[in-house]
Parts: sequence; structure tokens; C-alpha cells
Amino acid sequence: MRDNKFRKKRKKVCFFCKNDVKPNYKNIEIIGRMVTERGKIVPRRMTGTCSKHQRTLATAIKRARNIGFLPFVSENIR
Amino acid sequence: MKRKYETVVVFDGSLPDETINKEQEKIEAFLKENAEFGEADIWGKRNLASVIKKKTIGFYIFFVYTGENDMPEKMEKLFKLNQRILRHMTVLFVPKAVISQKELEKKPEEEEGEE
Repeated sequence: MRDNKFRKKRKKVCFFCKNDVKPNYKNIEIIGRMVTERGKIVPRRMTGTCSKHQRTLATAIKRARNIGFLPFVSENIR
Repeated sequence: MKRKYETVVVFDGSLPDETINKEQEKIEAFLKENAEFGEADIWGKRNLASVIKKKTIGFYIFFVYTGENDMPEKMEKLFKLNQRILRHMTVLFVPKAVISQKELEKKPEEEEGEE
């Protein structure tokens, strides 16, 4: 296999633009995927989210943490 | 100017259900008096992702209502002195809040049906 440097990377699409959905602190299944195992917010370059939705996503995650839907820090990771 | 708000109230999960029902009725009565009460969505008992006031189980109730812009303050005063409430949060209501992945997958079939 040639050096995969030239392999065409799959273009990442914003999940929220594609599904025409706004990030909301109640849909934990969706925003739970945008958080690392330790509970940190995944950066845009990894998820491909557009900047507009990344901002609303960050507020949604902080609200979810506030009411106990998402952990601030998940400690039991070994 | 009237706006649509959504308040989530997290009760202490170890409380008996009757107490929680009474508290819910009190809040609904307050909302009917001060605003246009929309609906109360009861999510019930859930494990808290992080410990709040040394409790690990919370009982979640969502209230949707339309009111003047001093409503969040009034709600704050109402909840602040109540020991049974672990956490409360008032935000502007956002439509199109898809709750689960199933609803997302269901959407394409609906569109095909309409053509």
C-alpha cells in the first residue's frame, strides 16, 4: 500500500446540519457522543461540527452537566 | 414581552412519590397563577452523573410555560428555599429537541410517506 499520506480523507460533515437538529441539553444520547471518556468536550476538528453548532453544543453540554445528565469529570477510568 | 421557558427541577430521588407529586402540584399551581402553563414532562428517577448535595439519585420534572421575562427570577425565589430540590434550571424553550436516536432514524420514513 503506498504511503497513506496521499489517501483522500473522508470529508466530515456537521451532524447537526445534516440532521437539521439543534443541540439540546436533553438529548443526552447525541451530546453524550461529543464528550470524551473523561467527560471533556471533543474539539471540532475531531467531530467535524460547524462553529455555529459547536457553540450551542458547548452550552448544551454545560447545561447537561449542571443538572446531572453528564459528569463534569468521569473519575473511574483506569 | 412573553416568552416560552422551560424549567427542569431535580428532586431528591430518595423522597417518596407522594411528596414529589405534592411538590409538582404546588409548582403547577404557581405557574398557572403567574404564567400560561404549558405542560409537565416527568422523566422520573435517574442516576445523577455527578453527586449533587451528597445524593446520587434524582427525580426529574420538566415544566414548559409561557410568561413575562421576570418569570425566571420568580422561579428562583420559589425553588431557593425548598430543601427537597437538589437543582433547578430555567432556560428558553428550544423547539426541535430530538430526544433519542430512534426519532432521528424514524425521520426519513416519514418524508418518504409524504410524497
